[in-house]
This record gives sequence, structure tokens and C-alpha cells, in this order.
Amino acid sequence: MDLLTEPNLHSLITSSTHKWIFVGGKGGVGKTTSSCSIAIQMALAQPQKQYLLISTDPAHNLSDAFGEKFGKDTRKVTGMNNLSCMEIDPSAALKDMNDMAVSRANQNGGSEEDGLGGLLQGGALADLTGSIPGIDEALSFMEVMKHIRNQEKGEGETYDTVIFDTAPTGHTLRFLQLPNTLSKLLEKFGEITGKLGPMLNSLAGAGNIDVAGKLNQLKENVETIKQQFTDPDLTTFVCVCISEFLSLYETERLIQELISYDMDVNSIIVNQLLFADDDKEYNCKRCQARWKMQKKYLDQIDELYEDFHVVKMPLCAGEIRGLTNLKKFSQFLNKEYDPIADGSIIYDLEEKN
Amino acid sequence: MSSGNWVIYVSLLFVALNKLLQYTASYHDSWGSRLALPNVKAAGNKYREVLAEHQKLAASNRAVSAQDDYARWTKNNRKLTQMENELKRLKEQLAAATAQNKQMLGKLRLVSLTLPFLALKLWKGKHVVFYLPKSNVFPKVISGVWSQGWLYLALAPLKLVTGKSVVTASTAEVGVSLGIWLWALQRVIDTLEFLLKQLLLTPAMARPSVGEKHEITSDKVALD
Repeated sequence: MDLLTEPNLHSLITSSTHKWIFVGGKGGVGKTTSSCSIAIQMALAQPQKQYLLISTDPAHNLSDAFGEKFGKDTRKVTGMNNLSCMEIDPSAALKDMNDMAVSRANQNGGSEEDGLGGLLQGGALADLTGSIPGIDEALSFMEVMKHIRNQEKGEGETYDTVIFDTAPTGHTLRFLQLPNTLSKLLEKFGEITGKLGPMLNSLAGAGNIDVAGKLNQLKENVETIKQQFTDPDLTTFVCVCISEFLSLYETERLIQELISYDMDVNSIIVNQLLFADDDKEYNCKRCQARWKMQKKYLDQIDELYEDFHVVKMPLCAGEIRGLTNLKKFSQFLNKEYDPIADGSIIYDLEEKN
Repeated sequence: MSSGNWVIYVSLLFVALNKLLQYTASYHDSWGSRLALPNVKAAGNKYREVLAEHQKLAASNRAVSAQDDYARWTKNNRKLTQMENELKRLKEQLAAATAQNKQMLGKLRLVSLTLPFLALKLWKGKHVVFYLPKSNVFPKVISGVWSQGWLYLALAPLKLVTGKSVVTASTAEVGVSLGIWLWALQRVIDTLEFLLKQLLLTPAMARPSVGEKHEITSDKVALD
């Protein structure tokens, strides 16, 4: 039995079952670098599979990370034939969908039959549905899923694993609670419609908005997704943080929230570590002091997250941009960083790609 | 008559009990908690126990430095969150048990007070409590109606026109039934209550003081 969990993501990188990987954490901790690193390592470890890295952060930086432009349509990373990237702004996509629904409703006056888009019903229900927590996230997510399917159809290939570089707000997965919320709401709806009956339909007018029906459909769709996302063999969440109090506090909150959604979370990447004890050549008082503080929290992390894969990544001399640098950096996700043996990498990455 | 006195005494008892329960309404919750079923007491005790534990842990966690002892602080926070969820659940349980208890006491009141009183009124509703005096207490018209029925009223104008006497001897014995008597009693009690509340228990309201009358004498607006 493996009593000590390995301080690397080797099991995830070589996993043949995982379909959805979420990488999240508060801003400035190295989320994008980590998500790119995970994607690259997975693509290198399993060249026969296709991987898709998506950024749902409105402030996209996948393009900056790789040093090439990505957009709403998937595009393979230059130099890798099994890793594609996509940058999508779900809230903007949702707004576009809503605006289109409004214009279509104004033109036709009829109901929109396009599944989830139909829920918006010419924007009429946007106010109602927007007040239910998780609905915006659910609709955004479904828009993303729809987009992936369209891309797969367009490109003629399916993606075996999708890696999500989530937005720092961390509410991406709030919609996983939606089925419970919607069940209660639909129960209440059922009571009301049962009492008022056909009068409601006549009040709804020509549009004949079937709110309960649409909400039921949404609930079913979310439940289908939730089944996949709560299967630890299919989905996992990788938390990224730095070794400072606030970041750890946020990470703890994120982990507890994910556990409440029954989502598997067993990996933490701790970025920007100084390892100043082992840096004999360049050693400053400030780095020593900060490293002492980081070590204090690292010990606490090891105690608190005993059964997690806690991966410790070094702070490099420069930004990690471009495929070459990302490849060099990401290897430590697969085999843990040894500050003595691998210390030279910090300054190797200093050169801009 | 004396054999029927028990009806009056029992009715008075029921009326008194109802009034007592009405006046002591604010004490019902505390009496109810004392008469609570075992499950209510158990739920209450468990809730208090977990609450005390939570408060103790929260107090001790405040003394822990979050930054110097982050792991211990976080583990305590996890326990506190668990206890908060437990408290929420226990509170719901307690509320359900209390509601059940209240419902049970309500049923007890129904069965021991409301229904017997209703049964008494239905069974002995026509029991004559007392007979009205035969002397001239009531107007002649009413005496006439009692002795001859509503026909008396219908024929009275005719009698007047033909010059016959409309005065009749009140020969019928008119009794007041239990139902009517209880209704009248209730009305008298309610009226007395109302008078006492209005005259003695309602605090006097001071006459509003009217300041200087502000009269508008011109259309000009005074600007600052």
C-alpha cells in the first residue's frame, strides 16, 4: 500500500481514464503556467491521444504563455501535434446567445427550440434565471461544451482529455449544486402550477413559455455533467497556490467547496518556491527570509494535506513563456523538483524563448 | 331543576378554562416545553451540547495564530464548519420535534376541552337554564309574540283598526336555553373585557401639541 502520496502528478499525467481536468486557484499563483505544464506533460506522455487546453478566464493568457495567438476556434500548438488550445469567454458567449435570442424573439414572436438557448426565451427569463445561483455558470459551461463539440465536428477529431484553465473567481463549478437548487425550485413550481393550472398558460400569452419544462431540461443536463464530474476516474481538480497565508487560506476554501460538490481533488501545486537553502551561488538575505516563511507554510501544508499530491515548483529567474521553457519547467510535475540536482533550471529559463 | 344544575356548572367550568387559556397564551410555550415529549428534550440537550462544544473550540481557535500554526488553525476551522452543519441539522430536528409536540398539545386541548364543550352544547343545548319572569319586564309586543307567536304581530294592526285590545296576558312560560345563555354570557364577558381594556389598560394618549400656525401670506419663496 502506498502510504506516502508522491509529490508529483505522474499518476495524473499517465492516466488513461481522466477526461476532464480543472486547474484553479486565485490570481497570480501560476495557474496558467501550471495548466499549460500539465497539458504539455500529458501530451508528451501519451502521444497517441488528443488533448485540448481551454482557458475560460476572460483575461486570456494562453496565447501569452505559448507565445502564439489562440482564439475561439481550436488550434494546435506549434511544435505539438496532439495538443490544441482554445480561449473562450463564456460570459460573452452567453451574452451573445441572449442577444440573439432577444432579436429572434422580436422577429418571430415564437419560442426558441434550441435546447438551452430556449431557456432564455427572448431574454424574458434571463432576469428570473439569473437570480438562481449557479445558473449563469451552468449556461456558460454548457456553451463551452457545445463549442467543444462543434470544434470536434469541424476538426474531425475528438479530444480524449480536456484541461480547463479556470478563472480566478473560482465559481466555475458552482453550477454543480444546481440540481439540488432546481429540484427545490421545480417542486415549488409544481405546487403553484398544480393549483393555478391552465390559468398560468393563458397568462403567459402567445409566447407560451414553459418555464418548468426548460428548468427540468437544464436540471437533467447538469445532472448528466455532474455524474461525469463527480467520478474521480474521469474528473479531477488541481489546485494551484503559493506558500503564503492568504493563498493557502483561499486554497483551503476552494478544496472544501469542491469536496461539497463531491468533486475529486487530490493534487496541489505550490509554485514560486525559493529553495534558498540549496542556492549556494546566489544567496540573498531577502530570499533567505522569504524561504524561511515559505518553509513554515510548506510544513503546515504537508501536515494538512497528507493524502494529497503536493507538488513543489521553483520560482525561476524569468517568466516561463514559450513551448521550450514550458517543456523544461513542466517536467517537474512528472518527477519532483530536486533543488540540488535540478537547481540549474532556474537560470536556464531566464533566456527569453 | 337541581338535576340540571350540573349542566350549568360544567358549562361555567368550560368557559372559565377557555378564558384562562386565552389569558395565559404567552405562557403556553414555556408550559409546552416543560410538558415536552422525551424526543424534544433529547434534541434540545444535544443541540446545547454541540453548541457549547462549538463555542469552546471557536474561543480556543481565536487564541491560535493562523500564520504561525496554520495547520492546527485550519483543522479547527474544519471541525467548526462540521459542527455548524451539525448544529443546523439539530436545529431543524428540534424545530420539527417542537412542532410535533405543539401539535400534540393542540390535539389534547381539542379532545379534552373543545370537543366535550361542543358535545355538551349539542346535547344539552335546549336545556332550560331559567325561565323569564311573568311580570311586565318586557314590552307588551314581545310578550304577545312569546304567547301567540309571530301571528300576533301580523294581526296586531288589524286589531287596532277594529278597536280590539292588543294587550294579552302573558301566559306562556318562556325559558332561556343553555345555548342562548352561553352565547349571552360570552358576549357579556367579552364586553366587560373590552371596557376594562379600553378604560383601564390602554395608556392615555396625550393631546398633540399644536405649534404656531404657519400661514402662507404671499407667493414669494424664500431662498437661502
